[in-house]
Amino acid sequence: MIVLSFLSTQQYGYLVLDELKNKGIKVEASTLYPLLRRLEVQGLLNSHWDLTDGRPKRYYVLSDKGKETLRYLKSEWQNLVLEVEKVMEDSK
Amino acid sequence: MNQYIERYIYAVTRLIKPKERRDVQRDLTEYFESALGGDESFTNVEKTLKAMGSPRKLAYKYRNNGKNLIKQENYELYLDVVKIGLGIVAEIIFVTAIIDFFSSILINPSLLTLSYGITSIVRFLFEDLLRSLLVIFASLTIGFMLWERYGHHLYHDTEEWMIKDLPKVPSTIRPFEKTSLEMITTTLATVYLSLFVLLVLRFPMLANELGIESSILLPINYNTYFFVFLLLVGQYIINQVLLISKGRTLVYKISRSVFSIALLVTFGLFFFGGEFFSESDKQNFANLLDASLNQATMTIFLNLLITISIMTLLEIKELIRVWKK
Repeated sequence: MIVLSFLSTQQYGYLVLDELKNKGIKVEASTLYPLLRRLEVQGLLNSHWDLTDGRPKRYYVLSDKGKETLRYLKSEWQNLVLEVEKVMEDSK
Repeated sequence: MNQYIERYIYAVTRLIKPKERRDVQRDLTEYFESALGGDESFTNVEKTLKAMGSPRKLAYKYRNNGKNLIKQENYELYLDVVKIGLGIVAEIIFVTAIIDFFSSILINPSLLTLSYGITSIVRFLFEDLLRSLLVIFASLTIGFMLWERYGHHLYHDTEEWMIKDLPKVPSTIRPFEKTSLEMITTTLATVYLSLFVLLVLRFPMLANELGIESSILLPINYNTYFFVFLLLVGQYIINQVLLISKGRTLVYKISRSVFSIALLVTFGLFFFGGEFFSESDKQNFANLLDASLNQATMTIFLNLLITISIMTLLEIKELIRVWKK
């Protein structure tokens, strides 16, 4: 969900890694790059290669299915947080 | 690019599906170039590569789609065992079938007929070969599943690796790797091709010994054609074993080309070298079709022409494909 939420605008792998790091989320490149590929295979991301500056970069962006999945995951996450908060408050 | 980065990328990509290699190679190149930030000193390269983890582990992450009968970390070993198992069984059955076939016709030359040849080939392909390969495949797969289920870890994630031990990136043609499987298949292919050449060149004498009447130099006719056909089937199987076990190596390319050329020469001999069907065969065929002798001959001729044309085109296409890259 976190990775998907970074990709509403197109980004390439290293930028996503950098942004995750800046937000304090520790994800290894060896986890992120295969994950991006899998998300694309699952149809959640679209990608294209940018070869303009001689260093090929694969840019990823959310597909329609990816946007829908992200919305669903966010709402599931919010429900989970609310339920946990409710349990915590009841236990006070 | 730094040689260790290239070697690392090669070590990863050789373990993933061929169609995904180019994309993964570009992905990793992009990452390493960004991560190194222009500092390609040995220390920085080593630190960056070590942070990425072992190439094997990274390749498993690329290959893992969460739906595996065999665990990804054991998959490479499983694949090798299955290839070697199937290859060896196929070869043993093939050699046994050849020996069995030639022994039976030498003992009883009257068996030398097209129907016996076809029966032998069908029995070899579907009864012996297919059944054995399925049994071996199923046994090995179930064996691996049980092995994994009872907690045997064939590969350990904590495996130490050194960047100086990364495999070197090969040139475009892979060097000969004399593994036991390739040794067996190469030896068998050589023996087999020698037999093929010997048989074609010496056939008139052999035919004479077996009491077959032969009026042309290379007798390709109804009674003798399946000899050559059987050899071609065998060569094809060897090619497939080579392809499955080692990929498109030089040995495979040569073996596949010899097969194509042998097949094309055989087509030529078949079509222009002599009478394939005897007059009595044609008459029987005409009776079967309830047609005149000329109509039966024309039907046979057209069918042969179409079949051989298609096969020739396919072989030429394959020959170009084998050597194109």
